[in-house]
Amino acid sequence: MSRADSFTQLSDKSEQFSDFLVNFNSHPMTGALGKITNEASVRRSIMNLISTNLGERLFQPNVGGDVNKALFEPLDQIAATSIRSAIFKTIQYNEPRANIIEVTVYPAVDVNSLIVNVIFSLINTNIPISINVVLKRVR
Amino acid sequence: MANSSINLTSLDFDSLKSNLKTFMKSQTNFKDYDFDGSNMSVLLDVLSYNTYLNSFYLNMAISESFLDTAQIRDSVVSHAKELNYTPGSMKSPKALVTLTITSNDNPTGIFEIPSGTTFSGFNANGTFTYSTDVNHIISSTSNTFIFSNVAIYEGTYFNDSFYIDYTIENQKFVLSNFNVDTDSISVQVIENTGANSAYYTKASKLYDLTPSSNVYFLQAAANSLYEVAFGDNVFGNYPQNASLINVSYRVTSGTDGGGISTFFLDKDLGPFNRCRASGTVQTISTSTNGANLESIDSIRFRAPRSYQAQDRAVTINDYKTLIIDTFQDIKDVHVYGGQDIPGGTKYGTVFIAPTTYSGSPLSTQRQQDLITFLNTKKIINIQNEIVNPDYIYVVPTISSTVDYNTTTLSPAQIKTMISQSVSMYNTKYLQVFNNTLRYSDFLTYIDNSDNSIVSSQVSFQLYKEITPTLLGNQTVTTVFNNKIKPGTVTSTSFLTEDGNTYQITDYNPNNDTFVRDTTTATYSTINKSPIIYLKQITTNNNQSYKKVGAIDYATGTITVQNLNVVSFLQSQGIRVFVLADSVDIVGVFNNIIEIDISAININLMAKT
Repeated sequence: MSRADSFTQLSDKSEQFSDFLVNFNSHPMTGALGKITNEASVRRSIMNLISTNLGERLFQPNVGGDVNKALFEPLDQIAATSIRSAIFKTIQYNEPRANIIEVTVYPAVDVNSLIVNVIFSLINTNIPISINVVLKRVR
Repeated sequence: MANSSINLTSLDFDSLKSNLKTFMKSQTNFKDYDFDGSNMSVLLDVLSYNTYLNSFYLNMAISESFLDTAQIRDSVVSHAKELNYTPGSMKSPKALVTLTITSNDNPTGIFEIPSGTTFSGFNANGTFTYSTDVNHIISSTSNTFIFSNVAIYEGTYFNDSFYIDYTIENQKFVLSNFNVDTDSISVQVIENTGANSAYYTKASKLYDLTPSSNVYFLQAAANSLYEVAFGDNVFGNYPQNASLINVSYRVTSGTDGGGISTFFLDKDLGPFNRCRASGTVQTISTSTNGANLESIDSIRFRAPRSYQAQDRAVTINDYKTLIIDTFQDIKDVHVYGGQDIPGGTKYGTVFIAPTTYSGSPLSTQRQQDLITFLNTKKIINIQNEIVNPDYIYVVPTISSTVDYNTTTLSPAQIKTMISQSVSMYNTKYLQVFNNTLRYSDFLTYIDNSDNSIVSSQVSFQLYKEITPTLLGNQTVTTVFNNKIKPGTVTSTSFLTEDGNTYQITDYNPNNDTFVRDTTTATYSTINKSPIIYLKQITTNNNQSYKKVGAIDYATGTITVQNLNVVSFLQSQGIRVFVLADSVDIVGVFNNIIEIDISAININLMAKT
């Protein structure tokens, strides 16, 4: 998908992207299905992509960050680099609304986790947005 | 413009999801349906998958609901059951043997071979057990007991017992073994704790049945099994509560166990007859006429036709359906009326030409069985006559041009591939009645053998094998039912009563009657005096020609008179070869066209 070289800043109130909440919660006042928009929507989408394993999505075997494969890998820079590459690619291929600025993954040995930090901007803005994800064993 | 309706015609996942996305474009509440990571996209995945599964199962369920489209055997069998059609079971090959028993101390002068006595024999598929189906008892005043023409069937006997229990609704009596030969089923019903015992006979129709008729019905069950069923006390008797049902049957290997010509008695029959005995087994006829379980395609084809025939032999299709339905060992049958025979019209006669799975002619006994069976179905003043299939063998000479730059195969490998293609064509299109060897179809098969074959040419030599009775003066007529090229008749050699060796031919160099036909554009050769000669080849320098018959090139009829053969020299009979004068080889009446795979000639030329 080709991306615009120049763009017009949108007002915060413009609803360019919209999605429902992952837990299907309703709006507390109106009772309508809850909604996330623009930055929140893309942020949620990237979180979804990172936490999706390859083959998990029906009939779409190439979608997902596939971080689960690193579960039994040594907690070192090699595993971190591999995961960074997978996350970078999945956002690049599957999330055209995000311009990736930087993806960093580093091992947090003390807490047996990997810290993932994605910095991106929306396709029609130049404001950097940061997502931090902590990957750790849950049991 | 937004499309607010959902397209419901697609069946694959991607199209379904695309349709849902198109539908989502009509609303503005949730716009992320087109991004793979969005929650909406995941929801669309689930919806598409669910729709996909539903449409798949619905498609399968509807397909299985009709005889024409059902794929699962149980579905096809179930539909056939609605048409009162029972799929054909495995059939045991049958052999005839003569058993000679020598017993020196037999006190009664009576010797018995009980039913189920087993014999062993082997062929390329392994060792097989054959069994007698009935008891054979003879008496003798000497110590030798000769049991002539004892029928033995491949397979061993099993017995299933059931208790009739009225508390079970819709009780089923499913035979526990696969590969049952349903012809061998015997049903014994024991009532009143043994006070009454009766053997029930098989019924397939409701005609003539009364509430007291001791009959059972055979029907197909699930998983290629069979079940017996009893009447409803209106059409046939239903056994009393707590009756014991003994069903005995033979389990066979079908065609695998056929073609065995040597048998051995498995056990000593002396102890059974309370004496010492030794026996020898002489084979009268090799085991033939076995059959395998009827295929799904066959059931699909025969069931509606069986229903259409209504158990009467009136039309040609009635005959075919009744015969193939009843005689499992018959692979195909061709039926034609005597009025259709050119030059030999025989009104009021129906000719039946059956072929068996083994390829051998139907045995005399089975032919008699067939006639007896048809006598109850035919129109009163019609005579049925069985004729053996008349094979016309084809020897193709194939010349193919090969582009060796496009293949890594050697010429020998290409020849093998062509040979395999010819064999495939032979199996797929020929070897049954009423089929024609189409020149263009045949060429297509050869050209498709390998990409390197750029073009091909084929000429067909035909031959038939005639087997006149040895040492007897007789007239032999053989009909190719295809146009013959004049001057191409030859044959294998044979020895006649005058001590000389001859071949059959239509060309006599001492009396050349062949001329060019200038009236046609092709200037084809014609024979002014179509005569068949015996060419003496006893010595090469002394070739003489004897006029013995005539030939009709248009119908392919060759008649040889006063033939008195002492022995055949190159085959089991006299092979008469001719070249066909047409590109297609047609099989009519009882002709079966078959390619002689072992005799194919293949020439390869490199593309220049």
